[in-house]
Amino acid sequence: MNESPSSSKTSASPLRWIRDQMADLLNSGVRPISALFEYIGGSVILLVRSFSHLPVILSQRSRIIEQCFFMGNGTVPIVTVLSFFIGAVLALQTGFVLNQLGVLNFIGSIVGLSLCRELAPVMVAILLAGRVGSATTAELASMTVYSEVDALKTMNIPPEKILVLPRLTAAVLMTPVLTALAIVSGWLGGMVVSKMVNFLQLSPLLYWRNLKDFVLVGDFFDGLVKAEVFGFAVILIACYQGLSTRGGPREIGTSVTKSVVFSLVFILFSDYFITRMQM
Amino acid sequence: MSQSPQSPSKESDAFHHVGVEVDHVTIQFGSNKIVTDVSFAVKPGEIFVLMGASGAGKSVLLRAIVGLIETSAGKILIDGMDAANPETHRKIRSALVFQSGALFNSLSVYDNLAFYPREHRLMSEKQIREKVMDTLKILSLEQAAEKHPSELSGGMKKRVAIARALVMEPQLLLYDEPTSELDPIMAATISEIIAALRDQYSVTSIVVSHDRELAYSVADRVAILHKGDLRTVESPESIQKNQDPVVKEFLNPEINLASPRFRKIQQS
Repeated sequence: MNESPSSSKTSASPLRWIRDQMADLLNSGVRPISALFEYIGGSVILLVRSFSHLPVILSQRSRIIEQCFFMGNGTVPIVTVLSFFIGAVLALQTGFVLNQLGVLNFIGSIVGLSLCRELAPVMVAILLAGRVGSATTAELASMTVYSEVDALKTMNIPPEKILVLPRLTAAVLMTPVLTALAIVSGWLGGMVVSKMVNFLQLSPLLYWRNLKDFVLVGDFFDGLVKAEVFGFAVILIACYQGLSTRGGPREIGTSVTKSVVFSLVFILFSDYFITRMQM
Repeated sequence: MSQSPQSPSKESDAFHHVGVEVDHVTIQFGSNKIVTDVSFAVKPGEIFVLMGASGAGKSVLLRAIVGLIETSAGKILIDGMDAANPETHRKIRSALVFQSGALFNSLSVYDNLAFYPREHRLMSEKQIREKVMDTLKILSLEQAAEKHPSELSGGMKKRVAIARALVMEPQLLLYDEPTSELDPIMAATISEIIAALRDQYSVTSIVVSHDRELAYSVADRVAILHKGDLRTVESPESIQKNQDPVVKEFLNPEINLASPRFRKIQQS
């Protein structure tokens, strides 16, 4: 086969090749960063548009109640059970060491503070992302892909008003409730294990006294505030991801995955900064 | 902040005919021009059918008219007002019947139709019930009131979508492929409904369609869009005599097995 000189790669300018390689490298590094800023910007715009309907929020009360029920109904049992066992395992792990150090009675404070300030807010947020966030993204993505959101716009009904604002409001209302439930359930789990495990055998009275001495009301509220930030962000991410889905039905699954992953990344990334601010 | 549209309960509003003017409109996404410098006018109360091959830009133009897409150049005016201005769509009631219907899957047929008047608090529940049931009766959908969209056939979904648009008492009604995926009998029924709406309610209608039968039977004027360019706008009678090869090929495509358009099949 004849090969024309013009088709030979060796004749390409090396300088041009280097320039092209560097451009590719820069693009592959810049693209994710620009995509991140686009995502953050889009979420903020969605938030602002949703907040613009706050004056008429009462007109959405039935949707808010529906969303509260959706967020609470299936999540309460899971939160209760998981928190109980988180408290239990925390008491078990710390109790083993504390017993050897001869300071077993500090189990209450360790379990109490850990759950209040860290474990309960993070766990509730992760559960919200996995259960509520994914379902929200799936629903909104489906509505977007099948033109239901466009149908709303043609009816002069802003999607932010009826799809996003009720969900954000429900997140604000329900996240502290779920977190408080998780905290108390976890404390109970810690108490039961502290009493029942043979190498611990700590009386519930001592457990609660120690917990009360070290866990302040401020710690409890710090946990609720942290959870509130997480819960709000999870639902905002879920809504934005759903409403910005483009393409066909296959993209719905992709959006759900992205929603959960981005929510988890946000939770774990911001956890450090919120904790630092609260100290 | 959402604003309720003008109440359609006033007789004068309901019978106010609106015209649409597309003035040198270009729509592009990135560097891809979908519609290039298209101009036409739709007279108040007429049925205007926009035809063309797949990918010609018809649906994109329809979405721009209803305000879902912005134009890259030119203007679209509805009753003299800019279609890109959200205020226009508050003053002019326009409804789009989507190709897929775009029904709210979580709601029953009844609630789909009641959605618009309920959200905008235009009437009491009793009035909504009367309005919805009357509209369902017009389209022979009374039995489907409590069903969900997933339980409906394709033809029923299209009729429910039209019914939902009708409840809005639109001054401008746009249809995106209303007879696609329908059998010939149902397609004829939909065509009759479109014509009846013009005759009884004088609604200005813009219909995007591949359906030549629909165009010939109900259209006041037909436009052909080809690769984003407007080839012609004329009456159904005269368009059938148009000698433009693009128009001729679209309206009367020939199946030529001796010289197929699919070269790969020929070469293999």
